[in-house]
Amino acid sequence: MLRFPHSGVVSPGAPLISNLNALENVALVLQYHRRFSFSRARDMIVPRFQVFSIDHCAALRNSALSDEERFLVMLLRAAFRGSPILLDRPFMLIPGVERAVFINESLLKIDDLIGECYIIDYRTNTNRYVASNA
Amino acid sequence: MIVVLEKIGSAFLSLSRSFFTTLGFSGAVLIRIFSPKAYTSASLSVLLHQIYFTAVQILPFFLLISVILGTLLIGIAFQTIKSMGLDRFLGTVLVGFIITELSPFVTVLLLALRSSSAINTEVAVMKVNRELRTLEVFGIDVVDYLFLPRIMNGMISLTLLNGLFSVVLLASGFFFSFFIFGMDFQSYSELLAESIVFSSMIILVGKCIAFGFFITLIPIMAGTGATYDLTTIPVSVLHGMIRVFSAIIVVEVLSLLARFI
Repeated sequence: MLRFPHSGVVSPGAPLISNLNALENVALVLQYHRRFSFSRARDMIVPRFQVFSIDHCAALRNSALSDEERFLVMLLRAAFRGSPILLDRPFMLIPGVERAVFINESLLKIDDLIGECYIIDYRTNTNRYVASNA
Repeated sequence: MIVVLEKIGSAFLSLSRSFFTTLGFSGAVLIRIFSPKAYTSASLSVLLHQIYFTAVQILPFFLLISVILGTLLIGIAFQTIKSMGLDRFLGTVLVGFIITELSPFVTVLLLALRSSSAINTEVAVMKVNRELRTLEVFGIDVVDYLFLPRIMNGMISLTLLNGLFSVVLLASGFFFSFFIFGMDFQSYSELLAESIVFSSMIILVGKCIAFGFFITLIPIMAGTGATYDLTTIPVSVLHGMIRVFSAIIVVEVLSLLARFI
């Protein structure tokens, strides 16, 4: 798997930690790298969950999340890690999504957190991006 | 003959490799324990959760076992002492053997059966699921975040639970000394105070810490030894638990040697 030090990664090879809930997964990055307390990290994260309308998922663990919810949690985790963020084969995480509109809209909702974003995907998926102009 | 020698040599090399790997990892972990940078709110949260799972959740079962086993052991020991006319060694047997030797041994066996296997499986599953890799990708030190809290928990929980087991044993001791020897509380506490040897107590605490350290460190090492194949999980738990029991024996023997040197 590709490694970008100090960057956030959304990848099938970097799943959520299964013994933490969605909120804790995102908070871990802030607690570890910025030495935030959990409550301070939570105060930063919860509004982002609300922006994605996944605030009901905060207490759920990886196995209880839908593919889209899991992707958004992973995206937030990556965004809080730092810029640039790397989306590695995102359609493997959200196989039910046909076009990149969902990815594009999700990125736009947190564009203040993301400086740069790179997407790496199979050439066969090119049309999924072109069609949505993502 | 050569085949036999080769097998012995291979086993010896494998044992030596495992011993030195454990020693090296122990050294690395010990250095981290004293490093303030290793502690974040996330690792402290893991430590609290681990203490809850290891030392608090087990309490009802642990107390039940302590009362049953402690009462039986103390009853048998006191009856034997009385029947052999060794009343004057009552304090020595109670403190020198039951509290300093038997109590930590029973505690470590209970914790190893419950927590070591759980830690080994948890780490192996995280390895198979690539969650350890995730932490690495996000620049989170696996030793600081995952391993250190579990090892600290092992040392703290084992020492505390051993203390609890000892209290139950001492309470049973008072009960039996009252009925078998007609001893009142004053005489019983004086007997205990006279029998306590400071160096043995230091060794007891050191032994508890060593037990706690190794019954968590070894399963963690075994867990990280799993590959990305699901079938390696039971194998890693099997190997881990065998090493845990070997370590318990080694620590026990070393503590006995320390007492008699």
